[in-house]
Amino acid sequence: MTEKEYNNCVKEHADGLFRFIIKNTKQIDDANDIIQTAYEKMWNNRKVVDPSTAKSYLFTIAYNCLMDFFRNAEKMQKKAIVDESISTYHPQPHDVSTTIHLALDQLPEIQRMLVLLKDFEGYTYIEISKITGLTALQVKVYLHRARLKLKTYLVSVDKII
Amino acid sequence: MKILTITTNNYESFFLLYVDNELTELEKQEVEVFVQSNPALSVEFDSLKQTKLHQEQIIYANKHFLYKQEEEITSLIHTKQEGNVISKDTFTIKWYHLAAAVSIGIILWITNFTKTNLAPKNLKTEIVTAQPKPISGNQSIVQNTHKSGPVLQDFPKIKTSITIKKVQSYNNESIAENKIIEVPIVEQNIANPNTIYPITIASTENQRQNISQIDEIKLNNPIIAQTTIEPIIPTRQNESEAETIVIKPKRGLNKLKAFINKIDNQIDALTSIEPSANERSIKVAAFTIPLKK
Repeated sequence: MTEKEYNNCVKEHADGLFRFIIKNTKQIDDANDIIQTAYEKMWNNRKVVDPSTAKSYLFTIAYNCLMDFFRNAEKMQKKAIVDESISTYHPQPHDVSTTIHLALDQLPEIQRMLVLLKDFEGYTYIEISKITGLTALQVKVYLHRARLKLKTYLVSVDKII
Repeated sequence: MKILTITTNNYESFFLLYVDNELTELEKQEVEVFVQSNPALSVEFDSLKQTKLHQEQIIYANKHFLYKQEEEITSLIHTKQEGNVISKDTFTIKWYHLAAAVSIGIILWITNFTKTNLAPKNLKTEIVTAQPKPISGNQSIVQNTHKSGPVLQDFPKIKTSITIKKVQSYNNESIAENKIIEVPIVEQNIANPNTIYPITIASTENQRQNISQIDEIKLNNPIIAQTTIEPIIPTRQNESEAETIVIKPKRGLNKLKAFINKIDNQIDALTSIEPSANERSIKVAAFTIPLKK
């Protein structure tokens, strides 16, 4: 990977990677740290990184960083603080999009990350399995469980409304 | 991972695979046909479809931190094109910009320096025979007793190295008049360092012959003479006698100082920075730093 290709990766994938991270961390400082770590690692290993797989490489690093983050957060009992600078995080009542994101927050971390990788980035089960290190079958199972939980949450909210 | 036929027993898996976009177009059509044929399941199918996240556009504002060195300037352009707010306008000066600036400066300096210093070399010099002559009758100086041989034996102790350049600067006018100049250089510790010695301009043929022999001697080598010299008070000789020019021997430290001054003048001439007399300032090379009053 050349420097130009690296910078193209920044231009093309930084937004998506940041979205994936911030949806999981809910804290902009942690998200900044993780995305910078991911790109720094890619820069350091640019000689061995294939530009065609650079996006997966970045998401793999981010996924591993997020797993570490969740482990540490679990220990420290952190409370998620939504950064107000991101307008998409302002909850709007009776908004389907907001409701689904609230539902997403109810999911376990791994399921949430898989849903995000599936819906936002459009990865297949096999691609997600490569990123996460899970088997394709595990990915499928986790995703199906996540969908069913989301459906249940949405149905319950509809009933309340 | 593919299920061949959709039934009322396995429809949920088909629905989930449909939502996850893991089915082929043909399989998708089969699912849609199945839902149409089973309206009771359409609610569940729609509910699962709602679990799919809608695309959101989130722009990472700190993208410019991620771009790497050689592309930093480009990155600023990219981020501006993308409409992000850039908190600081930075322009990184690359190492090769600095290197180019420094090398241009050095070339200019060397060009100017050599131009000014090479100028006197165009002049031919016939140097240097010396015979210190007493200017006043009361002060004794040993005279040259050899009429045809080299006069160096009668020189006072010559230890200070002399450079051609230095003599040239004194002799420009004399050479133009086709004269020969005698430059006796005397060891400083013989007498008072401020002692001034005469230079005699000779025009006789004998002296020219002496000079040709002396030319074989390297001037920078210490030359040992048998005689010593007394301090001389410089005075002007009669017009009938040889013309006398006064020269002060200088030490190596003075040469270095003069060289540094010359460099300073060159830099001043190049930069043409003239701090006003009213301003209090410190001038360091080409830079003027104003002082607070």
